[in-house]
Amino acid sequence: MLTGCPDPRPPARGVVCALAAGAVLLALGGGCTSDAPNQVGAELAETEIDTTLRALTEDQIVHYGVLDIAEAGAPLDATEVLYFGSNGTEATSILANYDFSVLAHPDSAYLLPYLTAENIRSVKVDLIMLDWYSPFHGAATDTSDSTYVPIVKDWYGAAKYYDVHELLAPFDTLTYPAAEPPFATGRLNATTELLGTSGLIEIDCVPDRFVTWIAQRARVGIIIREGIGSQPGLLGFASKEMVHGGSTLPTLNAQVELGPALIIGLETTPDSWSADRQALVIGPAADVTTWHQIEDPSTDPDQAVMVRTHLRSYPVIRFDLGNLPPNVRINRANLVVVNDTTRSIGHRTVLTCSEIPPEFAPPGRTTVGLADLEPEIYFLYGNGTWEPTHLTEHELKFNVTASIQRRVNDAYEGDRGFLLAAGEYFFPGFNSDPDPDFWFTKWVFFGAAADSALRPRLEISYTRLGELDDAGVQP
Amino acid sequence: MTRTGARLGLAAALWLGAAAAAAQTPFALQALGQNVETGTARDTGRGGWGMADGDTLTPSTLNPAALADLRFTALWFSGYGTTTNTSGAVAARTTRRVLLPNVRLAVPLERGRLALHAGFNIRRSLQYQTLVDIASDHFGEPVSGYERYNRDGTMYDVPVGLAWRATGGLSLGATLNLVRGSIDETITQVFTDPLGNYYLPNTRDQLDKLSGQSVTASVLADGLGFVKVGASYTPAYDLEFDRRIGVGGVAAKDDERFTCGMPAEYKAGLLVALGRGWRFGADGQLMRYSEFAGRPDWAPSLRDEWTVATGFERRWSRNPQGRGYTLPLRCGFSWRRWAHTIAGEPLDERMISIGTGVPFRDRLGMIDVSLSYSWIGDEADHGYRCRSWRLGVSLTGLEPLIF
Repeated sequence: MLTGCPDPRPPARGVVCALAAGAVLLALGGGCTSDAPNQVGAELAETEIDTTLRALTEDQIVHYGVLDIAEAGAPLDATEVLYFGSNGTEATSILANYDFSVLAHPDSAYLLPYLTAENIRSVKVDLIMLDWYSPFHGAATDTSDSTYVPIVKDWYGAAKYYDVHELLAPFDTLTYPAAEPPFATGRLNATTELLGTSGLIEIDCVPDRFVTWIAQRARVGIIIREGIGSQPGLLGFASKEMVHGGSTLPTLNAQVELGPALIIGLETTPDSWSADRQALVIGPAADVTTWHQIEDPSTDPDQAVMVRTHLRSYPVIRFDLGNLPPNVRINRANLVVVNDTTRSIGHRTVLTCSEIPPEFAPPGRTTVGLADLEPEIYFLYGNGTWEPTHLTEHELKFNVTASIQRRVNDAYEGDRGFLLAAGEYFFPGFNSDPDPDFWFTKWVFFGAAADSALRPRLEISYTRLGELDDAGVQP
Repeated sequence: MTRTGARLGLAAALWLGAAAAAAQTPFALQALGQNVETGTARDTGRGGWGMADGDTLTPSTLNPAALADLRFTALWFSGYGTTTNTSGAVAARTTRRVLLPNVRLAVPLERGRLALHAGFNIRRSLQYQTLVDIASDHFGEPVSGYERYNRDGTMYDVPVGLAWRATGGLSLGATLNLVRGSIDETITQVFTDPLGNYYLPNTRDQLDKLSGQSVTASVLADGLGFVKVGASYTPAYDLEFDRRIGVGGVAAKDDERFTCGMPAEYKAGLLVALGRGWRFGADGQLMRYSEFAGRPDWAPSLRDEWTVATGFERRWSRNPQGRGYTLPLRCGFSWRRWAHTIAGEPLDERMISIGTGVPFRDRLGMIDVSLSYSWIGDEADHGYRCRSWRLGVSLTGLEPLIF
């Protein structure tokens, strides 16, 4: 039945027009905008998430091991800082060997007429304090300087007495840390109290003994000990291996030799010297820090968890996650440790947290090399703003969200624990100054036996969907 | 490429690019959302009726049997732009969208007697988005953020069928509808602590992929003088839900598959020729969603969906003197009861509409437009009321291409 108009005359253009107009309609469709969504209709939504941001604290430590880092080719005596003083459980002296036999070398022959008892006016042992310490050494606290948190107990006002003794025999650098070597009871220095704010500590000594050593072309050692009456605090001085300059060391006008140097003042100087040169500087043949008292890292997590730089010691912790339901969304997971500021000392330090197979750090202490450690870890989090003696910021949180989610997702074969470590060179972005081998810093965190607010723990925020309780992993 | 090939290629591209129909009302957040089946702008302009409308050039697509009279290959695009304002006790929101819910191609296999048709027809839409602020205490510190809920998806069918003029006054249609669709419900929660640090957000995503197939039998009786009647019947069929639930970041996913029973749908229409080109029409539609099976969570709110559409149309005609034309005029009214209740109260959608159209040269197609205004819901009963303006455009193109 025909109900339309007479047949049109082909060819037709209707379809083309329809297609073109349809294309325009589609193009227009992309440009329409609506008001941003708001609460209109929110109560009509019929689906929801069962549990959102459920808080869970896991503080049962099921594995704890301590990794002591040893670097072949970088023994203690090769480090750049010599530590002096005592603080709590730590005490250390400085050892230096001098080899006067170098004066027998023909190149030194011109000096010998001037190294006589009559011509040696004075002998000093010079120590160059690192800039980090010197502003606080014997100086008043500048409370207006907000860049420094007052480090009250460590080195602020740490008036030190320096005792210099002759060792009964030159020391062997490879034996340290160890007890102080035997030394002569009599001091070599006449005056012991030295504060100084310039960064250069000059210990005046009686020249007699040094004249003898020079005459004998002897190899001798000295020990620089903290004298009675010193205030607590560890101070750092440049060793002969120091390679840092700039802001690390003070600017000194006098000719210096890195490490504990002997400054031998002369009444008459060789003609070849410049007019303003009045002393012969003899650097040490060897120097080292004794660390004759040092707190060992606890292998019992109930007692404490220690992270230590310089003499590097890093803990590995694994928590029981038995209270965490399966197949949950981890919104945030923090590994929380609380700093025991009565025991922690040192500088602002980069602290990192990484995943590590717990079997790499069996219970007790295990010595590993950095090269062995690097391939075993997976970096999670780092923070370079924490200070071990900060007055208020005691609770440190490491974001381990991704790691806990991987545990939930069964992404690993085997377990993973958390390694707390300084910013070693293989952590991208965290090997900047200060180098972890540079400063001695000791973080002591409360152990698992402490109050629940102080003990190490995982604070987990998760979201749960009941439908996933029996679900499987699907592609 | 031949000209015909280029046209068909462009048609295929448009077909694939047909935008998903988007509901504009928060009431679409529940059950199977909103019925957005519109037919063409010509149908909408006259109130939505068309079951009894046969035409050799631009018939309605509502009744597949009416396509039997086609004399040319016909292609329809129907789209609309709509703006909807929803207001409630505490907030209001205006949404705008342009979409293309209906595409149909019909090819006369035997001119005026047998036609093959296929198309794409969006039947239901479930799209809406909400956002609310959230706040709580967590590990002793306040947490703030927001929750965004997004429901998206459509239910559409791809009808493929034959229309056959059995006798001089009776056409029959049989259509196979490939029913497809998806319902994607996503909840996103974002939290920050007092320092502004973000917790990892939550995303719960539930995706239902729908698939099924139905058949529609239709009839058009136009040998009754000035009255035509049409009807269609789609028996109940199974609709498979292939579901996946996941939470962002969690490896485990919940997969399940279940079958729902879609109810039968009945449609019937009447057309009365009033003379001088004027016509009156009325359609009725009933789908017994109260018998929908397989979603016990929806069951308490499901009700039978029905629609009554009625209106007048003055057809396009050439003036008797042969100079000029008489433009089509259309107006109508429809009343639809939704398939689910809101807050236990039935939800009604009422619409008034007007429309007109312009033929292409030599009547090789039409551009039809419609303008409608709808009321959905009542703030006292449902918490919200929606008011919607819709501008519809349909394009019908004809091509003397006969296989």
